[in-house]
Amino acid sequence: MAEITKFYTTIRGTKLAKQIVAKSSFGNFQSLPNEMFVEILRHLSIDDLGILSMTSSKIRAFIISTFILSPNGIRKLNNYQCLNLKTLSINYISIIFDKLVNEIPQSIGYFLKRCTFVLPTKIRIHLLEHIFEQTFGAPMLKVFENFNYPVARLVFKSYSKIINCFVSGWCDFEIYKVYDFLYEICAINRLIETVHVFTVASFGKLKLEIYIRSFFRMIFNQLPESGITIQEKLKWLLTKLNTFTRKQWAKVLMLIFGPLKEMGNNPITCHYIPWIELADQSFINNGLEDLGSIVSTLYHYNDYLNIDRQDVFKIFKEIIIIDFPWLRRNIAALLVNSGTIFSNAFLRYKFQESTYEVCTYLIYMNIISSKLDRNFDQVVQMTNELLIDLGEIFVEIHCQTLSNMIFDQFFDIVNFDDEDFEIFDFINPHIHLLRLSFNLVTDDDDGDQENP
Amino acid sequence: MPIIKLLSSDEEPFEVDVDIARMSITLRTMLDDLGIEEDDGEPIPVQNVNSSILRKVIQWCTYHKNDPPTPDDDEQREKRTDDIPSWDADFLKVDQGTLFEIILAANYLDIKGLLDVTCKTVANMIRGKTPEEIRKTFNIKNDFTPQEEEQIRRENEWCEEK
Repeated sequence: MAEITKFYTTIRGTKLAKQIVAKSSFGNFQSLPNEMFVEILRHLSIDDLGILSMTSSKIRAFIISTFILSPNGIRKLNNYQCLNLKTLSINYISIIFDKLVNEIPQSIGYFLKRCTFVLPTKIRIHLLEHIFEQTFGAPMLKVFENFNYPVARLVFKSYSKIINCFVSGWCDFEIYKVYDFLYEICAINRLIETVHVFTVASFGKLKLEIYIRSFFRMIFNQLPESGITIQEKLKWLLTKLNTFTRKQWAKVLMLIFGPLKEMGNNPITCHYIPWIELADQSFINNGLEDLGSIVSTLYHYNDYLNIDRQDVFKIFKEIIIIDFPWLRRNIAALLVNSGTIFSNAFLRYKFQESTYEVCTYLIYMNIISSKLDRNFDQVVQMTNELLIDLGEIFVEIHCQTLSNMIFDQFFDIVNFDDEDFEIFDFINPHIHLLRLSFNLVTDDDDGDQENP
Repeated sequence: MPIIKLLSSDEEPFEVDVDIARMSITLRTMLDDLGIEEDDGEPIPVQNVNSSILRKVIQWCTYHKNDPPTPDDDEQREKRTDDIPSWDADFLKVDQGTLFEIILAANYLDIKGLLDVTCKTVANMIRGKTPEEIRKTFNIKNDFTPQEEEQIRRENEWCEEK
């Protein structure tokens, strides 16, 4: 059979090829010509086709050859029309969005998985490449050129689902082979370097940044099917960034996990990474959650990720000055999103450099966390722990600084008529902080201080 | 109604209405090429189709002679298998060998409606079954080793926990 021959060509010379020739069976389907068998298979759902491929290696080879290796093979799959994005209007895509990014890619991912059970990983990856080629093309930069941004994003989401389903249950080093393959064919290393070298903003650079972000998000999209954890994915990423400086690490992490802004109000136009805006606009309400979560993971799993905790602090410090120093409230928002344990550790680390900055962060963190979570106690508790950890010397020297700064900051914000903060947003948290700092000052000085 | 004679591969003659015979694109082309409009005494040989299968095919065509023409196959259209008419479902309650022979005959005679409904019937025999059940139904030899089977079972669990 010609189709099976194609598949043998792919695996020629392997032990597997000999096994298939020697032992396999087509069962009663042997009596039907190929085109009749294909006609029957075309009536099956993708899920049933995957199950059928598990019955014998010869049937599996036939299905792979017909639906994956043949040119336009995937078009023979039942309900293929949903994969043909070029023929779908944007309006229709939005109607069947869930089907496009969840249901169908999941079926394709599992179909590919079932068709390739017990085949060597190299061949499985080769077949994944064919699936890409037959759907929207390999997830390379050209995807961005062929589709407008919303459709390209949909393609990456769809691929993410396919990949996650395909590799589900694999051990991490096998999964890394799939990621490595994608990383190589998409030349991501070179693109990261390009982004780093060209500092001047241009539409081309912006597009490149969004592409790099989409590529990694395709891999990092955390879906329950995959069974691979975010720290395992992060470990892979760090090995890829091994040759880069910490500054480049910071930039890549920001590219992938940082906030995103729309260019204008038109949803069709591209989004961009707001490097400059972080220095003069507030991002406390959204956009820093993912980056905070990754910082937290880097810190918590530093041993597993083979990275020193001091390096995590350095990366954090690099992040908050790309390409301009961030607003302190944005830094504080990132600290809040990085969790109490990291924030505490970072502030202790930062304390050696600038007490003033630490105090400012605490104040903003207090406002932000209470604003976002309605939790007035989190930063107060953190401050308390920080003071205890730093010991009596800090308490004696800096509590007064802290309480003075709280007043300064309070009046600054009130006078500035800040759009982020309503006055009532920070009265309560500040009272908490004030109470804490004064209590500490009062306790240490045996009540010699005046009451506020 | 004009009648023509068909001759099965095992040389059994069948008298059929021309309109029913013309439901087969193969026979229609043959009749048109030869300019035959009714029985001229010479039976038309239907190679590759034996008498028992030809009888079934004629029976199906007779029942469906007034059906509207089957639309051209649209590759973009979803192929459903849950729309088999009840008469066809009863008609196709035959052993697997016969079913496959009807498929071959429908393909040879180019009767799209019959081919479609028979392929759907076979697809329904596969649908929703486990690999082992499919093997049993179609007499497929399992050529995976026990180790491979175990590996497949373990990895397939990830597909089933959707």
